[in-house]
Amino acid sequence: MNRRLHDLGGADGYGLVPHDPDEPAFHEHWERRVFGLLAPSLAGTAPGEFRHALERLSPVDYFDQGYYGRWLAGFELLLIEHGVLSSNEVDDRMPAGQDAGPVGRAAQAVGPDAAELPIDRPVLAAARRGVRRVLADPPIFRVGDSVTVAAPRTPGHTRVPQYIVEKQGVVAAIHPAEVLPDSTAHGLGERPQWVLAIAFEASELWGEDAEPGVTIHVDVYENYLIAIHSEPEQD
Amino acid sequence: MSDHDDHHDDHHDDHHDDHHRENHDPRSPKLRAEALEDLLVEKGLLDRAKVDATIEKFETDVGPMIGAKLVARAWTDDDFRDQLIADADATIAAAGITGPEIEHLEVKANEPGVHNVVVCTLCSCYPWAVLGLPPNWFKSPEYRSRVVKEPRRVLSEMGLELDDDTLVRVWDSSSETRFLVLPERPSGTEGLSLEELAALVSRDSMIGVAKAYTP
Amino acid sequence: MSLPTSGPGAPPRSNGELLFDAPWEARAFGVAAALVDQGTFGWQDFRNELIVAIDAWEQSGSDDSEYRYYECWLTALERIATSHELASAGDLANRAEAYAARPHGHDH
Repeated sequence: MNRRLHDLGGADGYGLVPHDPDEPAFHEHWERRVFGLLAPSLAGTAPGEFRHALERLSPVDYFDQGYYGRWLAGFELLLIEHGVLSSNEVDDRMPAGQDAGPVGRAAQAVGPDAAELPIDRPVLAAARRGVRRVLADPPIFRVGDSVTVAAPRTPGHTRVPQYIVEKQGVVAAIHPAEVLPDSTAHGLGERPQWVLAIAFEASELWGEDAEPGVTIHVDVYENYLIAIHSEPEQD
Repeated sequence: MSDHDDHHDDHHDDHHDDHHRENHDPRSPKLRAEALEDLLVEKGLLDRAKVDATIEKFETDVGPMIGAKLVARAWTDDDFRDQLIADADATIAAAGITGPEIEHLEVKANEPGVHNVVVCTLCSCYPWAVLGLPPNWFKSPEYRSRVVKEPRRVLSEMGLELDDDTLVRVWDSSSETRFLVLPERPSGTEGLSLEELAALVSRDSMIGVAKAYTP
Repeated sequence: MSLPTSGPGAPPRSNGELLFDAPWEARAFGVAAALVDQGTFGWQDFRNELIVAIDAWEQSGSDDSEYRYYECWLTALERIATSHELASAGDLANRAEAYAARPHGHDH
């Protein structure tokens, strides 16, 4: 599976974390209010749709303008794709000579082939809240099961990070079921899945590069998990 | 002696100039902001109390202080700690905490021999309702790419040394579950009030890149 | 160094949450939020002005990022106040001039 731009786990080439424990966050506080004010508009978007918009931004729009810049760009992209804002309205306000902007540079939304997604299934209506769902069926897997992670078979938004694909881990915990963002981001229905925390040994993911005594837990939507039937361990 | 006086004068002049500019240059943001607010209030277009309330809410009701208070309480109340670990959603709801990004919260307790650290490699998911806004470094490609691959080294670079016997558990927030690290209670904190304890709990310690402060 | 003057106590710095670097930033923030809350203008209108202001700042190539963000906010707020005829540019300038002429020591 090719690495997508935003899927950064384990990507090489990055240096020191720009850490400042006393980082003044004030310019981000108004950003939070900005996002709070944006929330009514974002509430009209489907789960994963906004993240998918961010993921479709060109590298310069994703990285160069920082967090705030990419949020604005992603938001503009959605507003224009939904026909709420015309690209002229934003561009006209820019100084003369401004180029097409993040919308012009963004990749088109390419959705998955619905046939490759897991089937939809009923939920207990009373538990419908946010993105969580209560499923009638229990999870297929149990804590302690060995599993491997399947690669998403079609393009589109996904929450499977590239670094765990085809790797083997153990089910560490079971989280509440959620709608599947890989589907909802493209308007293909909820297809809710149990969410399982899978524990991967660092050596499994990184081989020789692994540090000792490190386990990485990743939440994986159940449809991407494949059972492994391992031999019982001798204690 | 004269060097000291010169230095003192320079420093005093700089400070004086900034202060002067801020208060006596009509283009300074401070005066412009005051002018704008006062004009709108005088014209009946803006309620000053509403502005005050918005700011106050921001200063006191959001941010990592919320998480810090949970941690302080967990340090002093074993039942609360157990509840927080077993069912954080119910526990924080009972504490009146609501907000975005808290669909499902899990609290991961550090203990001797086990250290937890949180990341979102795919974007920058973060438990806003208990930690406020994510710091820039949490959202950086450097952190997102490296902490899953070489957490000991990244933590060391960020000032946290873990010994070889301590297991490291990295939590990648790839679903709508959000993680809060419960740092270990530092020694020498017996008898401190909840408020004093909460002041020791940094945002960094609740993400897992630092320990709580010692008093 | 200015500390927030409202709210019960200063925010805890050890958490890195220095909320506003100066009281005027908090006021500018609060004014915009209050006006949007009460429907005087829509958030999208304000956001569009903010985009313009931030873009102009970024074009200017300034390194002083933190300070400038709140300046951008204030600039956007002034523009939207005038475009929505809440206050005229002349009134704003006159009032700022009047405040600038206050005797030194006004705030103490």
